[in-house]
Parts: sequence; C-alpha cells; structure tokens
Amino acid sequence: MGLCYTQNVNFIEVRDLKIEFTKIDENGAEVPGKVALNGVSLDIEKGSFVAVVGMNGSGKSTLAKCFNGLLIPTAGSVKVDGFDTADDSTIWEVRSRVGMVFQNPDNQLVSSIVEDDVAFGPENLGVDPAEIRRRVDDALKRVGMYEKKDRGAHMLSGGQKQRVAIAGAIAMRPDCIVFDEPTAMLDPKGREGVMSIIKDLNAGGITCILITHFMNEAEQADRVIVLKKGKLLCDRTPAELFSDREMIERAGLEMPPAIDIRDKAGLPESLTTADEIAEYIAAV
Amino acid sequence: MIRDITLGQYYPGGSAVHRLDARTKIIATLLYIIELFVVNNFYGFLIAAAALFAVIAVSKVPLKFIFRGLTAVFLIIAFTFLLNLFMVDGRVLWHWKFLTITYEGLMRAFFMAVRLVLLIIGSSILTLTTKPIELTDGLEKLLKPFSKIGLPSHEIALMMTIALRFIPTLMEETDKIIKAQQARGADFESGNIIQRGKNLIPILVPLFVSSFRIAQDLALAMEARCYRGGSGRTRMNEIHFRRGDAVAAVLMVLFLAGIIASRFI
Ligand SMILES: Nc1ncnc2c1ncn2[C@@H]1O[C@H](COP(=O)(O)OP(=O)(O)O)[C@@H](O)[C@H]1O
Ligand SMILES: [Mg+2]
Repeated sequence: MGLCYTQNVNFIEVRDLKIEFTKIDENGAEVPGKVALNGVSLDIEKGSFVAVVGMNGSGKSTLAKCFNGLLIPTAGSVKVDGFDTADDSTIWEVRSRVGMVFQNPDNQLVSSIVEDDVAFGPENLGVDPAEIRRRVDDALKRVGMYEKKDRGAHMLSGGQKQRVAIAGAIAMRPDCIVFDEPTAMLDPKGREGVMSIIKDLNAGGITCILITHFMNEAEQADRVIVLKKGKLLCDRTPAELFSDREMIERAGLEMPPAIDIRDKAGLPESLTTADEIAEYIAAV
Repeated sequence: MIRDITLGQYYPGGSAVHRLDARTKIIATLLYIIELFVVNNFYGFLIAAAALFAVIAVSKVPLKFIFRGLTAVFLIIAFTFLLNLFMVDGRVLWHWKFLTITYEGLMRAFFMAVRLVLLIIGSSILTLTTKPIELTDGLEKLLKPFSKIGLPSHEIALMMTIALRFIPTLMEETDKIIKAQQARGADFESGNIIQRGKNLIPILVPLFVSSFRIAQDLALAMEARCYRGGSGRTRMNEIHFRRGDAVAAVLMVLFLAGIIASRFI
C-alpha cells in the first residue's frame, strides 16, 4: 500500500483551542468571562490511551467537552475523524463517534432500569430494535453487569452505576470514549474495576481519553497531557513525566505513590512503572 | 418512611400481568379508579376487591410489596375516614359534646376508606408490574393523538421517565441533608406548625441546589448520548398489543358490567 503515508492516524486534532465563557454583567448584557482554555493544540491518535491531568480548575472538563462538541471553540478548532465540531450539520457524526462518561455516577443514568438506560444512546441513534438488544447485551457483558440488567439503577453501588454508564457509551459503538474523572467518587474497589474496564476497551481498539487526578491511573496511559490554568503545560509519556519532579511540582501535581516509594527507598531511577518497581523489590 | 413509597417501583417478573401491553394496563387502571367512584354499596366493593385480588394473584407480586405502599399513605386514609365519620348528618348513633357519629357518616367513612385503599393498591399494581420505560412509552403512545393539538407527548413521557428515575436519588439526598442538619443540632420534630415550616428551609434549599446540579449534569449526559428529541428515535422493546391484551379487554368489560349491575342490587 504505497499510499499509506497519507493516511490520517490522528483521530482528534485540536488546534489553538480557546474557550471563553460569557457572563451576564449588571446591565444584563453578555460580556466575556472566564477563559478556561487558551492556545491548546494536541492530537489524539487512533487507538491510543491518553491521560489528562492538572489541578482543579485547570480546564480538564472543559477540554473533555470540546472533544465531542458539547462545547464549541471560541477560537481555534477541534476536528474529530475529520469532522469539525463547530459544524452544526455534522455534530451527530461527532457525538456518535466520541462517547462520554462523567464523574457523578448518579447524575448520568436516564432510565430506572439498567438495560433500559444502556439502550438510551442507540435508541437516540435510531438503531433497529433487534440490533439495540444485541448491543445492550454485549455492552453489559463487557462491563460485567449483564447479570444485573433487570435491576433498578438506584439499587447499585457507585462503581456499578459507573460501569452501567460505560456500557451506555459502549452500546453506541463509538471509536473513542472520554472519561471525565470516572473514579473520583468511587471507593478503591470500584476504582480498580473501572480502570480495568478502560484498559480492556483500549486493548479492544477504542481510543480512550482519561481525565484523572490519581497519578497511579495516569501512569497506565500511553501519554499524559498536563494542563495548567487553561494552557497545555506538557504532553509526554508517563515515564518521561514522572521522572521530572520539577515539572510535577510546576503543574501542582503529586508523584504516583509507587515512584514516591522508589525515591524514598533509593531504588534506581530506571524503574518507571509500579510493576517494574514491584518486580525489583520482589527480586531483591 | 420515605422509602416505603412503592409507587413507581417495579417488581421484576414474567407473569401474564407483567406481559400485558402498558397501554392496556394504564387504561385498565384508569377505568378501575373511575369505577371505584361508581360503586355505591357493599356488593360493588366486594366485586371490586375480588377483581383486584385476582389480578394480584395472577401477577405473583408478593402482598408484602403491595401493602408497603399503603403504610406510607395510612395517615391520609385515616384522616379521610375521621373527616367523613364526624361530618355527615343523619341518624345519630353516638354523641359526645360536639362529636356526633351518624349511621350515614359511618357508612360514608367506611366506603371512602375502602375506596382509597383499593385505589392505591390498584395503581401500585400498575407500577409494580410495568417497567418504568414501558409505562412512559405506553403513555407516550396514548397521548400521541393529542400531539396534533400541541400536546408534547414525547416530552411528557420523558419527564416521567426522569422523574421516576430520580425519585430514589432525591430521597436519598433528602435523608442525607436531614441527617447532616440534625448532626448540627437542627430539630425537625418539635415546635408549632410555623416553627416546623421554618425548620424545613435548611432542608429545602440544599435540595433545590442539588436538583439543579442533577438537572444540569443529566442534560449534558443526554446530549453526549445523542439525544435530540423524540423524532427518529427507536425503542429496544417496542410495545405491542398481544392476545393477552384482548383477554384483558374482555375481562374489563365483564368487570364494568358487574360494577354497573351492583348498583341495582
Ligand atoms: N459553564 C461555565 N461558566 C463559567 N466558567 C466556567 C464554566 N465551566 C467551567 N468554568 C471555569 O473554567 C475553569 C476550568 O473549569 P474545568 O474545566 O471544570 O476545570 P477542571 O475540570 O480541570 O477542574 C474553572 O475556573 C471554572 O470555574
Ligand atoms: Mg472537572
């Protein structure tokens, strides 16, 4: 295939993105307000697993909403699979390709019964009933909630609700899913379950963008994007990022617990992941 | 106590009642409620109660679930009973100072209480045997003819879906807020009515705030899942009239005839 080099492997392209919220002044007129993102450019490759980190208010959720056109750039552009999110006529092309899972497990399920909620997305897309049934069953199996498909949503734990929300996104058969701090409100067990599902989905070919404030989660991604005050501070592999203490401090973040232990124990800096460190300790 | 309200709770099952088209069940419930007000004597209530318990038996919903709904509204029933008991003129059975019980009052109070009990059981059977989504789909289809005169049938149905979904969430939220305020020394159990009303403000305000938060989050989540109104939407389980619905219709007519006949006994 001689033409391979022209193939576009970037699934999402963000160029000079600026998001400025408007506010209402004393006279009731709309005036420019908070600039939440400014001059952000980045690419998300097809099939990759990208983490986005940064302090509270650094613009992570705002960026997430730009990935599927829930927010439209004030300036600059966001392209998803070639579709400009600012183009009204193709917004549903964008949204059906990029699924979203939000932070609060309680506030994103629409229907009372698990399987009916998972069906909500495909129903909106006008998918054929028999096909919806297949997709719902398949999605629930992938997140391990098939046995609970007849349950009431309010009977589930936070982690289970979050898995149902993920199934709701999967059932739309997206190419990419954006997770906005999906584990922030969960207990450690729920967190682990959600992380392992995200990694499974990525292994199955779905591009995953994970916004998180847990560094041990960011560490598992292919790439980490760091935001600070609405600007892109850096965009590196986790190994590069977490070997740079100065950058971590500048971003107002913390080292992953494993790396912290490594440095306090004086282990070699060539060990960059929790697994490597664990192996080293086990071998000693 | 808040948790005891069964209205809007589904009891999963595969009985003949569960399998009926939601539209059949909605119409049957409405008819039943109307018929309860047509009934005017003991025989009518006997027929109405027998029919209700036959439906419960077929539905295989445990009685425990059905009566749980009643305990939550027990006060309303008791209040209605007392009001009727003391307010109706007629043959005096018992008299003490300003309180008088008449034969007519006793009958009226008794009938009204039975009526309310049957009404509440009847409507909780509807919600116990019908998935919320089928209930709202059924309602949407029943209201469809009125969309020509501007009734937003899809939106009404969606509002109901969301309300049913978030009633438990908001109740939990209320419980949490009450506990948090009590931990700070708030007292909801004493004082006169005005004082108690005032005490509710620290509950209602946070509840309002969190409802808005939920609404905002949910709207965003729905948009992210490509929600764009009712047109072009499909359903995973389209509701269909089946043979069972025809049987139910025949039974409904028989029941109606029985109720009307009972008035002439
Ligand atoms: N709808 C909005 N209107 C005005 N300002 C907003 C809005 N949403 C977010 N912001 C502001 O934009 C900044 C970035 O917010 P956000 O993207 O939610 O941050 P993060 O998710 O990283 O915590 C914050 O200062 C926040 O107050
Ligand atoms: Mg956020």
